[in-house]
Amino acid sequence: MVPISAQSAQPAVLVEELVAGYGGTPALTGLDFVAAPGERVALLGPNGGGKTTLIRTLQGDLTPISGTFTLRGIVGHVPQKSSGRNDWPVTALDVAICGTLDALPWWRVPGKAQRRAAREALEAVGLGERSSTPYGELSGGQQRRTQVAAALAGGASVLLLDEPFAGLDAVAADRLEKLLATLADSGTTLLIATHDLDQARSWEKVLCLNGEQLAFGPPEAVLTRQTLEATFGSDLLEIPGGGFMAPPHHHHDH
Amino acid sequence: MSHLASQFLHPFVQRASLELLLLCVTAAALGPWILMRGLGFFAHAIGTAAFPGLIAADALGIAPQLGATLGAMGVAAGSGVVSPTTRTGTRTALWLTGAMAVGALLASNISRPGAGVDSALFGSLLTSTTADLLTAAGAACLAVGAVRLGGPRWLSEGMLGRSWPFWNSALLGVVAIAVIAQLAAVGALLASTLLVLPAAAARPWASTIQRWAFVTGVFAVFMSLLGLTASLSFDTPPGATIALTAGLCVVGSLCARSVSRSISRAPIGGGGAAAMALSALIVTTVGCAQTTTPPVVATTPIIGSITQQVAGNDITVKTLIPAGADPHSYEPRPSDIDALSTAELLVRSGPGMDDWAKRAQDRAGGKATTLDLAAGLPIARNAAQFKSTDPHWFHDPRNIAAAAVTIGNALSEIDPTHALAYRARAGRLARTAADLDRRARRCVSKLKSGERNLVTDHDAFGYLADRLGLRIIGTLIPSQSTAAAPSPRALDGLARKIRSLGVKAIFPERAVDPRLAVNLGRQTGASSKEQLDADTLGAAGTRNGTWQGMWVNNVETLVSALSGGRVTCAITQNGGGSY
Repeated sequence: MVPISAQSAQPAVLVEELVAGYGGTPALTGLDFVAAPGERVALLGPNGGGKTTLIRTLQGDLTPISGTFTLRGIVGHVPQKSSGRNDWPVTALDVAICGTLDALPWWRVPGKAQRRAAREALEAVGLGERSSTPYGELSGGQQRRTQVAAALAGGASVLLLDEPFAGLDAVAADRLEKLLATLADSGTTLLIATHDLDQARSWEKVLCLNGEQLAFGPPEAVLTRQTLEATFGSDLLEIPGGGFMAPPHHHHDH
Repeated sequence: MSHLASQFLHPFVQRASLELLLLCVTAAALGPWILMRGLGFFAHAIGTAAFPGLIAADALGIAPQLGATLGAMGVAAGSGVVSPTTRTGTRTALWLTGAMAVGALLASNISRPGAGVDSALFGSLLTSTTADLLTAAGAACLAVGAVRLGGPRWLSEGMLGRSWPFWNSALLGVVAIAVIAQLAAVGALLASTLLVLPAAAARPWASTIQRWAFVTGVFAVFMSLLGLTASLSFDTPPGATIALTAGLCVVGSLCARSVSRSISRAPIGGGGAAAMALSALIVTTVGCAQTTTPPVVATTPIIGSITQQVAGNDITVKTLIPAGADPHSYEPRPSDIDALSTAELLVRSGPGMDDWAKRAQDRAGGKATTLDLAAGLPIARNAAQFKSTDPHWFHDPRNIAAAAVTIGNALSEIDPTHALAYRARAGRLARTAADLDRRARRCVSKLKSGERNLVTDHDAFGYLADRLGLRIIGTLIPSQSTAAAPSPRALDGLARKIRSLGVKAIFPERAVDPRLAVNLGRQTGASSKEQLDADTLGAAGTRNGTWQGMWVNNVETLVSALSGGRVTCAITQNGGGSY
């Protein structure tokens, strides 16, 4: 449903010498990377490593301290798990419709066209049947997919996902993983903050962050012992039989 | 039942209903958002913040409604800015505390707040003006428009973590305006009632925001009309009655919801509708107070007492302020407005005492002649602390004698057939006043010069002291507002004066908290047990239930306490009650 741009040779995300932070000392330096349309980029790094800072900067929430970035098309944002009020009486469809607001001028409210886009987006994430279910009654995975639907309803061709797998069980994580693959196939560019090295290994690009950009490239080039130790420090666990594991995930909401 | 129905034919009741319906529209639109965004405290704070605005308006001489609006807007704006790291609740609390402190300082040091303050604090639903209706209509339009445009934005902030700074400020602003629109109806202290409680009652019955708004509107209309009906049936002040009704409705709604959940999957709303119908039935059948509307209305108990004595059995006089109540916290009851709208004569004490009377009468749409007793008195006492004349003229019997004659003439005009009886009773009351004056002066003459120093709660006894040759050496409260308090230095100075002059007694007033007087008495050794009546009377039938009883009691109490019990005199054998 998301149209692939005719000029797919042009990068969808272009970041050059970007320094980001919350005013005061920079939280993240030396960012320099490119993502093509349809690529999945894993943002790897410890808690406080700068994943959320990067997402908030690309989203336009934070002004870069220096450097530039270009995003082609509409940017959609899927925030961390804690956002989304379970106690408000709203349906999955209401939430998906909210995603269309960014494109509307201030005097307009979502109408028929936006409603249709939201329904289609819910179909696309496999929640077509659930559109009138209260948001608070959806499972964690379904809520996450609803948030993705909201971004798609807004016509996003670049998606920024902040730890979308946090707190999901294996079945839900698998469904989300498949959804992201489908989106990438249809040309959506995905920047996904994650802790899971195995997932990162199956995606197109990996960006390692720990206060600065430590490495960027295809997983087989980036996911080496040295880079991972630089990223996660000595916390890295070696799994018997080959492979590594990042330290246990600690969810934090702010 | 028919009596109750006929009350709704009164123009003032219809206006009140219309105003309530407009407020309900605002409540339906904003209520759910106030609850979802946790703005209940903010809404309440905005209403309360009107208080310092009222005091300041009084001090500056601007309209109380404008002052209230400015005070509320100040706190609303403060809650929206200050610092981005503090949460709204903390900011609101910060600004509200500051505003209330300024209000208390103003009330203590600048002026005695007038009538506008009280009616704005407690509301005057039954005296709604066209301006009130227009304000309510404007607020309703604004609220509906803001929710229509802002609703989706507020939703996306809550659900998707988007940030819409403009629409957030807009929400705070519209809630503030909605609260201000409620001020005139239910008053500052209850202004958030209709904005919060209907939405709270509706929440368990709603699965979408639209439905929530609709059910909120239904609850709001039900609560306010039920409250108004209860107020008419039981003759209670409408603002407080509506607030209480609304609170009960919330409890009822929550109980009905849990019952209907546990019994069965009953159709949503069935339980609520049953609860509503039941409570409506109770209110409309229980209270059907029968009231007759006397053609003469008096404002305060003292004025009521002398007017009734002149009117005798020919006319029943309706007194607006109940006996023993503080005249400064008056909210018109349905029967008051009823009486004012049909009365032929309104007898009032005068400026500084019952300033609210004229406004209440205008709003009730009455055509009564107003008799301002203070205008034609032989003794007028000017005092710096009062804006013009000391309003406590009724503590000089010569004024009472003159007022009795004035009232007699006024009653003769509206009811010429009994003119002779009115004039005769007026003459009798005047003679009684002169007699009590003579006896009081004879009694006080037994006091030594050093025993004639007087300390009272507030400046109410200037006339009495002047007439009886007493000296007021100080007062405890620098103004008449209940929010006022004396400064430490003023209290210390007063304590020193009391000691150096050997004052034997301090006199708290019956309608005022006596703790300050008791403390000062303990500190200086002066007695503080004896209470005086300043602005109000005791209940009918008690010793100080008439003007005569009040005068006799005040004089006897003063003489006995000031002389430390050395001088006692019974001015009348039977306590004055028989006059």
